[in-house]
Amino acid sequence: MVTNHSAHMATKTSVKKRFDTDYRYGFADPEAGVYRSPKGASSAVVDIISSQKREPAWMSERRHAALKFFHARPLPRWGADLTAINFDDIYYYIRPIDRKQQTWEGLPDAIKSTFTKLRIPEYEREFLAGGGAQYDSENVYHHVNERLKKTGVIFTDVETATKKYPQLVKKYFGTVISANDNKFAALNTAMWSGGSFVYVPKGVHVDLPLQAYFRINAKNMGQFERTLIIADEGSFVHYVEGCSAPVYVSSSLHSAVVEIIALKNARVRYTTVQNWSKNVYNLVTKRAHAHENAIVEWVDFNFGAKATMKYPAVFLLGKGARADILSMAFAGNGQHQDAGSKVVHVAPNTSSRVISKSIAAYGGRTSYRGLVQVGSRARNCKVHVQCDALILDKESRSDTYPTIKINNKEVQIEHEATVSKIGEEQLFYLQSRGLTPEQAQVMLVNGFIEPLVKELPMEYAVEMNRLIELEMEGSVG
Amino acid sequence: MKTAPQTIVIDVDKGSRVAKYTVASGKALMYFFIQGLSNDATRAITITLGRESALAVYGLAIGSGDQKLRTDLSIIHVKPGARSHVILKGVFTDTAQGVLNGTILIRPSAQKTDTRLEERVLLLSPDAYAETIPNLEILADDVKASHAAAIGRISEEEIFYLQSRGIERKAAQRMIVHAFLGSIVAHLSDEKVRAKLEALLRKKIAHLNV
Repeated sequence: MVTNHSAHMATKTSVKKRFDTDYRYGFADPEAGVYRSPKGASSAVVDIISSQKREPAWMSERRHAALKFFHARPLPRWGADLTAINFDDIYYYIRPIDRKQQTWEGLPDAIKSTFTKLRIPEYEREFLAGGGAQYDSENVYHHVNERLKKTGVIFTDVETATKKYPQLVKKYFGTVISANDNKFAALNTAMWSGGSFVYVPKGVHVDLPLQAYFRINAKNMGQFERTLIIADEGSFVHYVEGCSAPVYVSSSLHSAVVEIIALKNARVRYTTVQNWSKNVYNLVTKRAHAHENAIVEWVDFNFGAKATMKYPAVFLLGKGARADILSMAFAGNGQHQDAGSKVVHVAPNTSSRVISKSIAAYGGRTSYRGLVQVGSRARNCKVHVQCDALILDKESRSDTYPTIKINNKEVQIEHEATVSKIGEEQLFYLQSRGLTPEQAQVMLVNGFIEPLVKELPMEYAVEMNRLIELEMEGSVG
Repeated sequence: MKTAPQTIVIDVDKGSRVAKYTVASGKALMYFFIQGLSNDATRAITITLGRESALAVYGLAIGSGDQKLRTDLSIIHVKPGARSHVILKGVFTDTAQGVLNGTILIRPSAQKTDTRLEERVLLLSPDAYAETIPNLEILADDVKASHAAAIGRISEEEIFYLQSRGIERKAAQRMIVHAFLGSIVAHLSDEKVRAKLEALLRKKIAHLNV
């Protein structure tokens, strides 16, 4: 027994080590950007960004107003511990290349090889209608397939859209998430760079997903991409984003703002597979407006980052609108995933469903934080929230913080949550069928998240199962 | 549940109240409260559980008129093997507002904890407001912990059933409210106490706008 025990201890240590160092996307290119702003969140940096982008004055004014909001707001006193972020020691803008490319071949070798290693061009060829790639502060690549272009779908970055489609940008930019919504939305509005602009015309169904991939390469980097998706009446689009970064000792900051407008009868699905390296603070504001009979689906997977604070939200503004939020989080050593959802029912006959699954292991912490709010006009609405959490060892922690605020009697609201460890009986059963304890545990964890993983596009589902296996390898102590 | 010697606290609406309890190792506590029978009321109750102790909390909040009721309940598991079960129920009508805020904290030293937190609310008026916050904070791995919250109105089917038995609509609604709240009172074994609380409930429910 003694030998057995120490053998297990040995595997456990090596797993922890592997867990810390085996992040497959942790490689870095030499830092060879063509322009880098000074450090710090100053109005001088805002001016630099505005002039680098040659943007109209109205956008620059918005940035400066937002910077004031950022400095005026304190750090949130809830959620993940953010006190270690030194806002003065961050580069807010790093321009990697001179001009965005429409082919992978046009990119500098180092950047091209980074995305090739991440298999982005390959996925795009096989699975996507269009792809974008961001490297530090700027989009370096955008491409939409010819067939899609003919339908009038716009897929570009917000900078380009600000110049080419100013009416659309002026009409919707900052209307879902205002500049002063929270400290990090304010910071993003001041410093935003890159991200995606998507417009889907009336009645157009984009049958393959559009994808954006975000890569941070530089040290002490802040990435502030800004995404605006407008799905016109009766349209459909599935937008997928992935991300990764090198492993550095110093931390980086990723603070995106994503706004979605789903007009009457439109449907938007937004899938995130977040796999930042474990030195990244991931503080993101994502929110959608769903108009009459529109459907908005957030599929939000959080695997990486040191600390995540992200609560994808849907405001159900039109009657019959629907929100579907699937949230999954995995927190390992040194990680805090403070993730969740918000649904705000404003109009009658609206419905929402939230399913959250989280796994805490190796001293990690997962927190589900959710808000359900039903206003006085939202008669006959239905809400179902279900949160399940697994804790794999006694060093880890799992929290559930659901708030439900109801101002209407014509409602049906249900919330259920359970927190448990992997069942001894299930483990025993699988072992009696010849599986090792390790295989049994991986199988049970995969079974636990399977209902959500199957909602992912194929290439990400495969990736997700591999990640779980990697993180869990040898994890039975 | 083991029939351990049980301390019962009955806390019926003497205005607002802040209280702290510790359940000693191997002991059991039942905490029963009703708020809203007279004025606005808040409860801030913290209960810490010893080794293999047992706790049941049954709380009712009944708000009418422009009453504002609030319950802040913290259950803290610090020792192994304790069990806790919390049921909070609220009924709000007119422009009354109620907040049911419950947190169960399981410290790393509290392995083998078994806990459940339930919050259920009936809203009887379009202008009534309810907020449920059932939090779990779990720092031990060998535990059973769950919570549930539900907010809704009286089901039309239940009313229809009672009407089909000849009961007038408002009486049917009161009957359903009474059953919803009364099932909690049934947990009390002392008949005299139970009868007294039943009477208090009945009186409040008789005056509710349904």
